[in-house]
Amino acid sequence: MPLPGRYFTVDNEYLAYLFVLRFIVPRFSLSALCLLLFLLFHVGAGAQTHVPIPRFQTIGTNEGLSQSSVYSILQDRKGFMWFGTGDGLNRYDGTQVRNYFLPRPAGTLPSSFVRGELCEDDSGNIWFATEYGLHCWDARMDRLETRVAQLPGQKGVNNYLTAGCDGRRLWLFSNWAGVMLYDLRTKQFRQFPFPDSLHNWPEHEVHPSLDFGVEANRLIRFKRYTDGPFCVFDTKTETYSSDEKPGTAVRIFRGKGRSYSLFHEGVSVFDSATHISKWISISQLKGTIGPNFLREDRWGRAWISSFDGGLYCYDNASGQLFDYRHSSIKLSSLPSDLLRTLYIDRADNLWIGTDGGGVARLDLKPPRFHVFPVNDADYPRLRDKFIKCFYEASDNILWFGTYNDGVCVLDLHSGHLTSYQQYQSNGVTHPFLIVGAIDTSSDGNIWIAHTLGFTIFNPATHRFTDVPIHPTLPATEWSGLGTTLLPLKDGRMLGGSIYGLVIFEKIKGQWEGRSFAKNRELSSRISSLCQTPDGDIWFSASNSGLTRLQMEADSFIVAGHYFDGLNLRGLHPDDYNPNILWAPSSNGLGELNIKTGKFRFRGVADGMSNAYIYGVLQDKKGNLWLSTNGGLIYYDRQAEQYTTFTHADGLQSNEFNSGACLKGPSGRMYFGGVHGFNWFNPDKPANAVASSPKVALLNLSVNGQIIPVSSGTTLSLPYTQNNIAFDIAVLDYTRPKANEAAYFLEGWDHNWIIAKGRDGRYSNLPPGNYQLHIKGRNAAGIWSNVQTIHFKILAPFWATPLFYVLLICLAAILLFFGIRFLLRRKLNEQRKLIERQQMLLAERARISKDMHDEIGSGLTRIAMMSEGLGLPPERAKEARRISGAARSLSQNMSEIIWALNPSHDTLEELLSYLREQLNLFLEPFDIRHVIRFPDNPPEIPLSNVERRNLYLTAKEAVGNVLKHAKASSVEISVAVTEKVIRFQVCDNGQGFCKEQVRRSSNGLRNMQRRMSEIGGSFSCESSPNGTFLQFEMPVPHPKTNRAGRLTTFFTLRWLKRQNTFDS
Amino acid sequence: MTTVAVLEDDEAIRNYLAALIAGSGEFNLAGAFGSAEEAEIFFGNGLGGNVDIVLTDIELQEKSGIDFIADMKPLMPHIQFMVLSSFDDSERVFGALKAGASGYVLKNTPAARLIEALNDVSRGGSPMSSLIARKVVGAFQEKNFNEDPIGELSFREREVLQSLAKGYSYKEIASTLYVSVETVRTHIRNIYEKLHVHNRGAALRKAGLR
Repeated sequence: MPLPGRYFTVDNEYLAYLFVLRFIVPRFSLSALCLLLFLLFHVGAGAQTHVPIPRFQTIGTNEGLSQSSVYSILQDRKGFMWFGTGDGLNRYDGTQVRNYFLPRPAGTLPSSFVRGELCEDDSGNIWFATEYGLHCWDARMDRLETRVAQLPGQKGVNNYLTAGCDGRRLWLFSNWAGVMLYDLRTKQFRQFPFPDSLHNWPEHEVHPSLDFGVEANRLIRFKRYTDGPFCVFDTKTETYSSDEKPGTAVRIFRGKGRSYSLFHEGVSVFDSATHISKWISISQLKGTIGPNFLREDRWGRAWISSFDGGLYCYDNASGQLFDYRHSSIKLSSLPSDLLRTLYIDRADNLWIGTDGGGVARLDLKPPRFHVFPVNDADYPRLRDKFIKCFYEASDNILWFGTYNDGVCVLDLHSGHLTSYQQYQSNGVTHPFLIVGAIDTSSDGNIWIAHTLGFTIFNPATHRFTDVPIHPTLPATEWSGLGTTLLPLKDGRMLGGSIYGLVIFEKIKGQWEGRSFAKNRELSSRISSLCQTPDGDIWFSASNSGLTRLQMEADSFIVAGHYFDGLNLRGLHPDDYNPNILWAPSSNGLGELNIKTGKFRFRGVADGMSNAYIYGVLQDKKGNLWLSTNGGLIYYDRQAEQYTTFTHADGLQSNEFNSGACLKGPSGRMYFGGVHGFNWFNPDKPANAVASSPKVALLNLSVNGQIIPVSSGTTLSLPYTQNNIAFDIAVLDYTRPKANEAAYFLEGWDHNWIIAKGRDGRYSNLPPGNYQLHIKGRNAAGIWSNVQTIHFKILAPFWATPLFYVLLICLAAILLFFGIRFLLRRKLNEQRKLIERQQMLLAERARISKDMHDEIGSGLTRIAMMSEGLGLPPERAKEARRISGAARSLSQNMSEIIWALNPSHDTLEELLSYLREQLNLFLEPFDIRHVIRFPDNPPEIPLSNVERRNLYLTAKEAVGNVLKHAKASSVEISVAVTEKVIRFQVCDNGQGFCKEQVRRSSNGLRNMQRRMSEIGGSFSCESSPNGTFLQFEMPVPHPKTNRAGRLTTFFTLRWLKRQNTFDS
Repeated sequence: MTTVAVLEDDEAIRNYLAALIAGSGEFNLAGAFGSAEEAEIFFGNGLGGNVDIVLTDIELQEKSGIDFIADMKPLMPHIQFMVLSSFDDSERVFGALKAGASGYVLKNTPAARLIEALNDVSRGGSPMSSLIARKVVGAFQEKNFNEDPIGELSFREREVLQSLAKGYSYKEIASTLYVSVETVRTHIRNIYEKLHVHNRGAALRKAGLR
């Protein structure tokens, strides 16, 4: 009978006796004591309590531990597990083990043997002392280093070990030198040598003891030699005292309201409330060294490690003692029986440090789902653990049928299993093969539907009897004849087989079956059966849906057919609604209203994680538990929510089986699968103590380079270092694989991201401020607090606002200078042009002045001197001609000079001058002349060429009138329109013949030429009544556009500034 | 008979002018001077008391004709100065008029016209060319003219001046304004006077007498 844990009970009455025995009986009589204990162990064998079947998880060198001898264990405040080994310090985060070794400078010998307690200070650093000094794992730098190479007074065996830490001070203990305090801030040592009273070293004691421990964070309790008295150093009062109580307990541990004294042979438990001591004897028959460490869990159980005897558990409530040992045939047993230390973490995991087996973890919390079997090798007789059906015979006796291992009866409390792989009926032995259903009939017999038919087990006689069926069905070995059973309300039993329905009745005290082979409708391959409250029978057949039957006398009438072709895996009438029938199928969960025939299927689209449903059970609230190919699904019908539980939650596997589900009279639900089965009470969930996990950010790397993480400070990264990767460790060790991590990068993400695996990565983050939030969820579904790391990626210099401003300024400056340069060039050109024009004008003015001054005055002199005053008349006449010619020449010249003068450059000037000259010209003649010029002619600029040509044309026209027309009046008029300047000369003379004139005179041609020279036109009409002469020129338009005007404006300003142009 | 003095540095022309004036039968020749200094001595000795018109050139050896007019006109306001120059640039003409000249004749003017101009001056003022008239209009629009209400032109005078500036002849002006040519001439004389008044004021200011 393979039992996972042996148990012991201890009675109070033995305690006093044992103490006496301990002190009276010399050591060599240990075997006698053990004999006695052996008897006791057998006396207590009748007790029946529920035992958690432990499953140890081992972390050894294969899992990354630096050495398999673990001497000290600590969970730090962040949640990491620390293991001190004979070679190196290890940090475990649930997934990975990280090793730390002491640096070994050249020429030194320090090893990385971690001794003493692992002590965490306020900054999260981990301290320990060895014979090579005081060492520390630096939390900030994430490395192990030696802080003090030589402790004061340290030499040889005079070795200090770390005993504890109150955050600021480290307590070191040496069996030779006493207690020493090390202040972590001032780095000062204070030694407290043993007082004289503690120096009485007995001569016969040769084995120094290294037993010491810290109690209540204040007292260091130690023993200097094996059988010596306990001594206490109080770190508050800084005094030693000797505990002179009798007894030679190895160590004392404090629990909740109890204290445990460890002796070589057992443990004494002293209840401080009742003042009653109990003795737990755990010494083995062989000469073992006994217990060495003890931890009490929150359920009042004391977990005791022994040097070489494995792990013990003493339940203070029941008084039972269990032991757990290494088993070479069990995968999840204790890895070694040589234990060194125990530790219980904040999530109630027991950590067991072994010598040579690594560290083992045991979950102390009651499981949500009980599982059978806990370990594969627990029941060697079970081969496949493929569960087909259940029958709960009593509160703790469960029958289950298997695919290949026959019928089994399991005592759920003791774990005792009885297996019937074959049976004898009528003197013939048959195998069970596939067991499809187990149930009970009203007479108390247990029915088994299996491959070869239907068999009754009589619990009273423990005999199996095959039930005969008429007409006989052909038995087949491999397809399973009997598949299902249904006890009917009238006491009969209905069986389902691959050949159809079979009804069993007790006839003359004997059960007999009747088949319906002739009725095709009742001869399908039946897979499940049920009876609804209205009395109708429902069966599902392989791939042919659901059939409703009504009982009528001895036979059945088909009353309906549903879900044709659907592969139904079971049937379950609703426990509370008589009209609802649940039909789990390979295509989802069917819900059939048997009154209306309406149905509905729920599947993946409704939120189910898996829609291949094998079985349905209901809890007291009417909510459903579904067994599927993806674990168990809890369906909250009110909230329409589906919750999935998988292998990670402690299920036998993710795959379950059809028919293998049962809610027994105890209220427990059983679900069987391909690897065993689970049971739990849905209405009384296990009183689980769930604590919030811790979460930690690991291996934060920037561009692949791991950088130390320090919370509270903001990490500043240049813009090129914008690839962030990290790991998230959810520091809950109960079921690390069920832990879930989530992260949220504020400034980038909008929602939390569930980490696939445990790592996150961000690439090419744009510059900005970021907050990386991480959190984790443990297997119990509790989220940790959110941890946040601030960092910012700095913008490159060319993306900062300042740079933009500078850039804009630069552009503005460039633009300004560019425009100025262009403008200056243009201005220079203009200036040069103007200067050239000015020079030209000045030159012209100079020439005209010279001409006038020199030639003009010369001509004047000629004219005056040749006036002929005082000359004889005939000579005077000639002289007057000379004088007239000179004057005329002078007049012409002055006209030319007038035209050249740039200050006379408007039409108005021209008209004024013309009028004046015409008046002077015409006055001496006897001709009436009318000059019609516009009084206020528009401002029209005229060039000197235009002026000269207009003037001379007009004068010639008038001259012609005087010379040839013999007219009595002449009219000269000017009209200015927007487009032309038009001159008209009109006389009332005799006119002229064009042909003649053209041939003889060039006067008209001259005028024509002059006008065409300035782009104008000339016309002439002549009649005997007068001549009409018209010449016109287009109004010149300044060819300056807006830009030109602007340029001119600037040019003028510029020139003004330069004072080079005097307007 | 109107008495005329001539100031001309060119001896040939001076002789010609002297002959022309003396031989015209309409004018007495008081004297012909080769330089302004000579003329100033002549007038300074009180010899020119009966001179009505001084015909002077501008370009002289030492003192220019304009300066001479400017100096002499305030001393002897009854004398009419007429410029005879070969230059008709407006600066000189206007400068002369402002200095106190009442006429301005170009040297290439025929002898008959010269005599006519002398007659005009003796009657009050010589005709004003359009160019000069425009200058005069501008001069009266200058600010400092308005300081002296005596120097302000009347509406008619302004009309006459503007017509002159446009090149109209006396006859035309007379017909458009419905007045006689004599009236136009009077207006012109008044315009000259006002120009001189202004200029005299400026000159006195310059001399610190006012």
